[in-house]
Amino acid sequence: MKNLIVKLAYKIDGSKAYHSFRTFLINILLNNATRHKKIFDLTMIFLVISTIGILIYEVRHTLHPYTIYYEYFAIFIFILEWLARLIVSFESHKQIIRDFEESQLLNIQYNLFASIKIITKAKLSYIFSPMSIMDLLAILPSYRPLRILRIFLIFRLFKVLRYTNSLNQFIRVFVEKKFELLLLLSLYFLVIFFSATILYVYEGNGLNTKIHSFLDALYWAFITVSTIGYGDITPVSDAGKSVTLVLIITGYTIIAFFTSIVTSSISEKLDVIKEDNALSNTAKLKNYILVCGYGNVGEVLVNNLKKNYYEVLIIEKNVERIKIAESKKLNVIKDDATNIDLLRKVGINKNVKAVIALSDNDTVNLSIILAVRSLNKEINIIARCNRFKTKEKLKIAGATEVIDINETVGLVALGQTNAPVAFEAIDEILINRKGAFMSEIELFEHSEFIGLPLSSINFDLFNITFLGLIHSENKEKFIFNPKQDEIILKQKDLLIVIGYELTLKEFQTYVQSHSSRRL
Amino acid sequence: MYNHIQAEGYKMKIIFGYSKLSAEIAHEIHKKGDNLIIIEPNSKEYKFGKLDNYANKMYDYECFDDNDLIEVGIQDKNTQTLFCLHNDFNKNLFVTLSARNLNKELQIISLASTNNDAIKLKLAGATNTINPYETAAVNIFRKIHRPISLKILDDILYSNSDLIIEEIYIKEDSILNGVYFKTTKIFKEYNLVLLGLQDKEITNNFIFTSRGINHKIDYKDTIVVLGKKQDIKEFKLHIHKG
Repeated sequence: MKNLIVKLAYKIDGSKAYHSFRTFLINILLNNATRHKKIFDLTMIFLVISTIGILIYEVRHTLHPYTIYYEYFAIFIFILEWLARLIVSFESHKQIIRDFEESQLLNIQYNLFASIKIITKAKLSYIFSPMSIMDLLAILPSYRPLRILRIFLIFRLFKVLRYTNSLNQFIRVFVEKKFELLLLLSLYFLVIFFSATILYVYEGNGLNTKIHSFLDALYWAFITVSTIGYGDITPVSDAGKSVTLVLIITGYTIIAFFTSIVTSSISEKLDVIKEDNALSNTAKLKNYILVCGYGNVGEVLVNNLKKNYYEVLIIEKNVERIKIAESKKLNVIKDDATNIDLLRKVGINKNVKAVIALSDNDTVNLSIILAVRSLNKEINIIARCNRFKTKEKLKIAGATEVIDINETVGLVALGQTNAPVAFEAIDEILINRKGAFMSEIELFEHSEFIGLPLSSINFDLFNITFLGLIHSENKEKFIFNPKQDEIILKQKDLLIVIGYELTLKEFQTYVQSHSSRRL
Repeated sequence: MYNHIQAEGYKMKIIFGYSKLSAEIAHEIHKKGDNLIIIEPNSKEYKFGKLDNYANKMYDYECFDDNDLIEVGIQDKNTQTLFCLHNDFNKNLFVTLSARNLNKELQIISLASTNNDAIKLKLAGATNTINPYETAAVNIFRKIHRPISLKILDDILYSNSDLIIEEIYIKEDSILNGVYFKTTKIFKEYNLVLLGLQDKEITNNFIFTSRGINHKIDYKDTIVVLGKKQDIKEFKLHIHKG
């Protein structure tokens, strides 16, 4: 039996299906960066609110049978969710393997019960965690014999907290400021108790006809200190009135303290909330550019990228720079781009098209490159290099391209002196400032020009300037302005041309498919 | 220690301010074989600059006095370009203004980190300004946006291939004077691609061939062609032989 369980544990650990199932569960239940979780959260919020709606409707109406089925369906989903959370809370088979391997190492008999004890403890600890209890309270009252507990269904509303990040952060504020808030709460109750006692001692003896018991005095103190003041019980003695004055002032002070604790704590949490938002926005992006560093170079680069409809995520530490990025409504995370966990969260493995390391410190850029490479071997990394001597090191670290700022600026400065007009022209065709730009047009499978000589393409029809071509079998070699009869076009060949947006679009359609305009 | 200034007809470039960027430019100028003078007011930087051995002469002048610039050779007919690359923007501005005042034809390239700096430098007489951040950012952007095009053009511009891009000023006696660029076959004959031209008379903007306008090439226009070095050389000889 023991052996069978150990074997099963190893089988589960080696099972691809188990791991993909677990990843799927984690993605929908816990991973804020995935779209699945967003959809799941919204569905759950809808189920919770609709079932609460049914509860309210049920007070004065008879439910339609379908509504009851719907309620059962919701409960079924809630149960599944709770079970899924229980499963992912602790990996039992890993504990068995760990304990078994430990016993093998120490050459002692493996104790299965010890493992079961640890697993049970871990599972119970999850079951009795506040969130799990909240889930159970949302499920259990639906069970017929427990209908008496129906009022607990309102706890389902608390379940909404699970699915909304910002509300979660709000709750965390209370947890983190537990000490201050408990102190304030103790003071609050102390004041209420003292005031109630004084009022009861002075007026509870029949002097005040509204006070029949200590509970009445407590009720009065609570209503007064909270500044609500219904006025159904009012003090009649001088002592009672004096206590009321103290109580009102204390009430205001306590509320002010409470508000300041909560607001200061929320503002401290604001960065985390913003980061969470930026991360969840990132999850929606596909093929975006990750810009690490929003300095002067970063700002111009992001401007250019946004103008050309690229999706961009910025990671920056400097508060002032973050403010500038936020004022432009850019996605920005205040964090360290060398942090591997953060890079994993932003989806470096699947959603990011290229990473640009733009720190003015080469050691930081080196660290960013290595962090990215540790997660993704293929991704395109462009790094800024501030010192000529570090260029090679950034390449060794894994940068696809290294831009030496001084070299680039130097070459441009010299280019401007040697051939200013040509430089202006090139600037335009690369940036597309005024319309004309250089384009690489690929010959797809269905193009009718495949197998025909280059001369069969009529460039003049479209006002296109043909510069040359790159054959699919040698992407490194640019063949400049070749003799058009000697070149036979192949699939995936690239035609390098200059033209305007409209003419290029027309030309692309012409090259890709139809021959109607061919002469 | 310094390279000897070449005799008769040499081209001189002057760099004001010694930095990593100046070193890079000095290196490129040295590679091209042009003569170079470096002015660096700070003696510490001045010594460092000397080590690079790129300059034909070095001066530690502040250049607040016009005589300093005259002595350096700002009015010399062989002096083509002044690069104002000092880290202190105000010094660049001052030297740009002084140099323009002394030489109206001089090409002045100045460093401007912001648009406001660029406006002031242009007013002071700079031919062109360079924003290092923008230049670097645009280069990175191109690497993402049009990597193949950028590689081809980089190879052409920085002479990694036998292809070059050349601008040709049209003289009055040129055979291209008065020719429409869509109708002429001359570019094809020399295996050149005409990118376009800058028409000084109408506008200073660059007109691309692909714009579709059959523009007439006139005297004082500058055409930009792409082709092999030898072809361009022969083409230039041919069009200006008249």
